[in-house]
Amino acid sequence: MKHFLSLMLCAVLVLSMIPGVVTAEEGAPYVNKTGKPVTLTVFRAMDANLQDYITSWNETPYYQKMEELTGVHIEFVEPTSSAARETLNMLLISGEMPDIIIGSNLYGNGIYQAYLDGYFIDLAPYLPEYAPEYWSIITSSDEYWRDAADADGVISSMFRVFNEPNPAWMRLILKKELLDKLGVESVPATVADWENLFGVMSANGITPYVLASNGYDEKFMGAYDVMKDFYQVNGKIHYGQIEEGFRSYLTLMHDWYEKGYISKDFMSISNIDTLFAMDEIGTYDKPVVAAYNFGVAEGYHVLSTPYPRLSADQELHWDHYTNTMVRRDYDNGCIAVTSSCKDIETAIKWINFGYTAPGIELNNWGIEGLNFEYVDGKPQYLPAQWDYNGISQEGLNYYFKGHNCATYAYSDTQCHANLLKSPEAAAIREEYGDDPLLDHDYYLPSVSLTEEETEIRTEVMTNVDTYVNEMVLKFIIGTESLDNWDAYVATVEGMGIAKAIDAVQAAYDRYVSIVRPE
Amino acid sequence: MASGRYRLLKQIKRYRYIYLMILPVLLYYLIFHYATMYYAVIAFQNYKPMKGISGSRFIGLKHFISFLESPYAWRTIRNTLVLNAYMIAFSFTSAIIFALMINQMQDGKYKRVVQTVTYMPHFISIVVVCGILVEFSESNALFNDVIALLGGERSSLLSDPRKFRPIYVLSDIWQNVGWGTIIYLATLSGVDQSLHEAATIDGAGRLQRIWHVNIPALVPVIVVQLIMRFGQMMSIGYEKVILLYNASTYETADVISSYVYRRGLYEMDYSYGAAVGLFNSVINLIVLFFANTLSRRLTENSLW
Amino acid sequence: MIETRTPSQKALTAVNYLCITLIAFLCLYPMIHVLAASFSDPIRLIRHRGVLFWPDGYSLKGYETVFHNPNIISGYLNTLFYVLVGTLINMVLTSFGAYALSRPGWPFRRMIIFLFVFTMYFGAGMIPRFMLVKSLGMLNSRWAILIPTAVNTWNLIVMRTSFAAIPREMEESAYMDGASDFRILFQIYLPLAKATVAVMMLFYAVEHWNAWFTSLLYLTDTSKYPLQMFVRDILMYDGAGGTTEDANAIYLKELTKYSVIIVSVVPILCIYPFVQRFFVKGVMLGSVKG
Repeated sequence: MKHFLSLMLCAVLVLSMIPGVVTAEEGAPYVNKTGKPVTLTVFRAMDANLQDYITSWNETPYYQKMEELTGVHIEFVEPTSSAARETLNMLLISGEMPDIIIGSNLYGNGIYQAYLDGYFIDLAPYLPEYAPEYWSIITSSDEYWRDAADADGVISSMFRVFNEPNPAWMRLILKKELLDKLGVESVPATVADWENLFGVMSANGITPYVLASNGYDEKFMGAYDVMKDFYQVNGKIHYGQIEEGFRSYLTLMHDWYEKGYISKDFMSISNIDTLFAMDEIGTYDKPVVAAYNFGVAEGYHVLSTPYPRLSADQELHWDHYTNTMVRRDYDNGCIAVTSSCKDIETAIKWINFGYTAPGIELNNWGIEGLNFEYVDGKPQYLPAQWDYNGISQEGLNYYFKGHNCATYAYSDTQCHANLLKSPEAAAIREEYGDDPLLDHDYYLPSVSLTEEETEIRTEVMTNVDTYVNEMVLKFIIGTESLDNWDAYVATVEGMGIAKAIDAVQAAYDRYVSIVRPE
Repeated sequence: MASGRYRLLKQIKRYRYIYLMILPVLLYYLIFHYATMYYAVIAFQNYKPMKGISGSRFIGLKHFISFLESPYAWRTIRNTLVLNAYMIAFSFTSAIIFALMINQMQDGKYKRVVQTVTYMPHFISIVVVCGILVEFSESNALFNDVIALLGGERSSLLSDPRKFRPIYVLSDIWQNVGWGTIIYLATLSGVDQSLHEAATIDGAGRLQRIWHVNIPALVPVIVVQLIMRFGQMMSIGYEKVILLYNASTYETADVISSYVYRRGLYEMDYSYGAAVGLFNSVINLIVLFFANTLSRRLTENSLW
Repeated sequence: MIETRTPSQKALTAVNYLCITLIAFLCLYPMIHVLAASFSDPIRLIRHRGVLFWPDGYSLKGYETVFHNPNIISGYLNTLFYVLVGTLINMVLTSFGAYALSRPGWPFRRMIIFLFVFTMYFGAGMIPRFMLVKSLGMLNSRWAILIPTAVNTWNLIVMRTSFAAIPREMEESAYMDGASDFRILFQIYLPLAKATVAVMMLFYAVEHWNAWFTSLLYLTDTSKYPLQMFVRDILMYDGAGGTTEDANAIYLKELTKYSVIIVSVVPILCIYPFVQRFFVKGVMLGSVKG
């Protein structure tokens, strides 16, 4: 009995030392070093590509590995992607918020407003201590800081940060075989070229073009020197949908719709990929690599196209792919900590894991030995990355890795599985990427509005958005004549668009003067 | 006074099991219908969930005024009324006509089969019905194949505001024409046969007998059904609207309830949504009251 | 009935039968189309134009996809739970309420009837109801799907009318024998009103089977979603957002829609014909004013 007791005592002593020992070793849980189970609750909508195969994020090797590496167990609140916004609203109003919100940009009035409304906490005071890696990235330059922080130095979310600019991923795509059949030799460069091509397609019984379902195609709008919603020209805020250029854009779209160049079903089309594969439609705006790889599998050749211009030497300023390395436009790449979170330290450390070396590897590449391996010190995907348990290929990106998640992200050309399928797949993504007459000068960064400014913007823009989005479609399909353009602009002005522009202008003026903290 | 209270207590004791039974039901109504009305106060507030009802600012009728001044007030009210008028004019009457037709059939297997088949769509969920509608409405799909066959032009049916109401109403007829006949058929089977015989002896043909015997027999049922239909018109069918509409058809499709959902729960403007919802309920009550009074004057049938 | 068989009458009968047959066919056809499509070859289905009476090509891939989807399975189980438990709660409360209201003479009866009927025509609306469910702490609870719809006033009135039609002598003799109201309800009223009970059960069950909006409003947890929520996802959302490059995922999308429709409607369509003979009684009673 005595022996047993002393043995027990020894065992307890040894066990109690383990956490201390382990932290010193490599491979210790990065976040939770206590050895006791720690659980956080996290909101993340289930990805549409995965929801036919799994019911919980915890089934993915990505999150299993993350749990192993961080020592933190996650309980997910995981609605389907189509119900994500309603569910988030419900969680916020119920007061029983999860600790962490992935997809914090779903909040209706913006991330900063969610902080002002008391849902998200200001992370700035905690970051230097709990998230040194992320903090050092966002304080590395004024530009990074401006895009990462909100007004008054508040940080209401952490974001996906790229190491280098990404080439544009959406292009109007064409099929080489079809162009050959139609006797067209080169891909169109100008709006006039497109119109000619559409004419040829139409004459051959092909529906030339499926416009985006909301009626806005940023590429053709760009040729008329306008962007959707708010943008800035030399520091002055504009609202695109009442600009003259937008009228020209609508005139063109309406003309194309009348001529049958735009699919009658553009607002509600399904099976668009199949229709393109079957030569029933000529072009649409599409992730170019996905289209290319699908074409390879189906035995045809997809072509990328340059952005349309009015004339070959026109300068374009609308490109938003290269404007900033701190991205607020990836749903999975915006993470906030809510005011219900009891263990802020663990929550922030868990998020910051994505910016540490093991987290960067897990998010960008996945799990060594399972979906990638090191060859000569360089990571390479294993076949499992493209074919595993019958899960769809796009689903696998989310299954093994932190696809589009908040991390220090390598650009798509470096580690996106779809691009690394073949050199050609990567090449088509970069084609036309070196356009010397293209920049992102008009792009409006993520500016933070004050509470009053938000109230003004919301009051004006809920009415304006509904009205404008409806009118755009009506102008295009012709249920409203473009002769009524002036009346339309007057209505938008009557709804108070100038007040909203002023609010955004004020926020932008503050934005440009922000400097990073010492 | 004391004896009155005593008598009441005695009564209550006598019916104690009855009260025991009604209690859970009463609680259900008090909580899920009447307590709900308490929360309607947020319609008069600038409600912020983090501050709660007691902490939110009272702003009176501001949301109601801002709704009524917005371009969407008239449009959503109009759409609600027009859609319901269409439903009553076509969907409601189609069941009556179909019942008169079925009533002319010989009893037997075929009649029963027809009834079973036409009841079927009623049991299909609104989600599935809308899924089928979306699928069939594309320009290269079934509906357009038929339109093209008849010499019409192919178009995307669900993106045309002019076609929203017909699609909505026709699909409703499809779903409920058979089901709606039940009540009328039951009424018709109770019609005194001697009336038909007398009419036949007077030389009335079949159509005349339908006109002079069957339809008068149906009138009281129709009137009560119609008033009840009016009573629910502001809330009916918005799930279907939400599933079928899109920005290009808001002009004819957006009804008050769908607008409440969009503004209140999707855009998190709770107070505004609650205000519009309350406005909707009040209009509903007015319409019902009006219909009931009118019916009492004209046909001497009424709900109360 | 005396039937005159003039040629014009015969023609009228023929036209009538023709029209009825046409209407019945139109009611049936969409489901035939969906059924045929659900067994078709995925690519031939997309190419197919016009009506469909028989599968175009043959494939079970749509059903394979549907049944391999773990969410569909969990949705099915959840729906079964909501239908069974929900209908049970509905029936207990509705028959309690109907029994009590069908008994005359007890104090406050008229007031309570008014309280109930008034809610048919006036409600505070979607948002206050949401706030109530929230403050009861029922958000993201299965109770939020079951309890807020526990009694349908319409069905309550129908059942009350059917109970009121039961001859009073029956219960009076039961009272004499010392039976309580609960026993009278379960042993006399419910068996005698069998037809109404069957129809009410069907109505409630169908309501639960087809419900989706309350789940969208009150549930945050996908593992509690009923089947209709996933059906809505497959039918109404082009979920994958265009980034997918799988031939399978792309081609099967259309076929899967048809298969999931069949999977979700078959149980109800198999049950209702058996309850059909009770419909007349059930619906008829509801038409009597409250």
